[in-house]
Amino acid sequence: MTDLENLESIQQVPFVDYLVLGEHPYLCANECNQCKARFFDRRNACASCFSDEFTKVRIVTTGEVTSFTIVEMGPVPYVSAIVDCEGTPVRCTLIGVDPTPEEVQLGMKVELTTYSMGVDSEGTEAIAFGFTPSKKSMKRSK
Amino acid sequence: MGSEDVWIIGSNMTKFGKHPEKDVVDLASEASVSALRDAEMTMSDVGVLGVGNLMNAGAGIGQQLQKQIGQTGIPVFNVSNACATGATALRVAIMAVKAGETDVGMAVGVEKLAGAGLLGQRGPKPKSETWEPSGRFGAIGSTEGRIGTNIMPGVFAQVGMEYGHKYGGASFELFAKISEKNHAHSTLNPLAAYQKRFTLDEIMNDVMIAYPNTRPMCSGNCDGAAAMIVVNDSKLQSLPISVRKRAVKISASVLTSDPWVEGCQVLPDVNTLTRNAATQAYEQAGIGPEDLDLVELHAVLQLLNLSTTTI
Repeated sequence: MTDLENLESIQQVPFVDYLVLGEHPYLCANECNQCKARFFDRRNACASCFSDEFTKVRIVTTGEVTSFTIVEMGPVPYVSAIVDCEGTPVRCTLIGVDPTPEEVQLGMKVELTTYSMGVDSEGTEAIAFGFTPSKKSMKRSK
Repeated sequence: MGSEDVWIIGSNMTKFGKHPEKDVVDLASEASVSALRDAEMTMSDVGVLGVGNLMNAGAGIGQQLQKQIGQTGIPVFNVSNACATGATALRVAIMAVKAGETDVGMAVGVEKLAGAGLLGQRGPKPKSETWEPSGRFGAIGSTEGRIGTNIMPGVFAQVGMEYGHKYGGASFELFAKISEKNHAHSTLNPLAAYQKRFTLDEIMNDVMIAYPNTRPMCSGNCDGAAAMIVVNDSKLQSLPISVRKRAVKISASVLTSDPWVEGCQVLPDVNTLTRNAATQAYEQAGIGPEDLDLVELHAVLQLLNLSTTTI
């Protein structure tokens, strides 16, 4: 089997069902057909207008940190953040940044990224997402 | 014509702290019996019992309490409502009295939390050989740390930081100053779990839990109980002067929940529901904020103190 064939045979699953995998991964929300409120979980009805019809919408993969905390109670500190993706707030872990108040800034530009969580006994690979400081904004700041 | 006013005629709370030798029912009994004594009443006077307890929400703590202090056959409501659990038990007693179902209500709030650890964190899922999606997000594992955080100090740190981002001027130091003020108040309360004064430096340099929340900026988990006896106007008139002269009128009692706003299911919006509750309470009482000399505000973490006092 060539490396390419091997790669293609690996099955992948997203960490959560609102992460859509592929060449360009993105997050997907349930948008209310009536009032356009967006939700990431499985819905019974709209919490805003009570309608029960939704359409899957693609969330832009870049955004701005509007809030964060650095959780230091576990073995490894991690940054939890709220990222405003052009009007849609997303909860995430920030990765690729030192978990210190000096490095994580409110208003910083970030972008969606994915990483492997490993494979299970059947060889299926799990892919999780995080947001990481935007390459464009890093270049600009330099 | 509106319903009658409701009055508090008895109250009591245990010391908050570690009570390893007492269980939930012991603590609830202690507060209840003392509140009844304060009101110069017994269980035979009480017509409704509201009991708040979160950690044993399915255990019927209200019925267990009755079995220790008096089984009179009255209706018992066991309530659980997160941080508002005890206050909701009081709300139940007030509503029953206001509705005319009884003249005398008792409300009890009790919790044993010492050693409970960080609240809000979900335990690890049972190990499966393969990735199995579950829950409303179809997650294949614990979201803690993978998709931000669920632990209370972390969630409320983000609420405070969001406030700072939106309005500016809310720094780590400012949040710590709120904690400094609150710890100073605790030295005046002999029933407080911790009565130690902290300097700003001590607070800011203590163990970091979830930036910017250090340990003294978070509510400590402890054990304790409180109870109150409420009556309507007609009942009050029939009581001895020793009780009547100490009665406190409840000018307003309001319970709200969070109305939908953009992003509220990503990070809780604690401001709108608090503002709504305050507005309704002022309307009920027929007064405004300018008429108040003292506001006592409960918030589980210091950051909420800021975001909820300035709304």
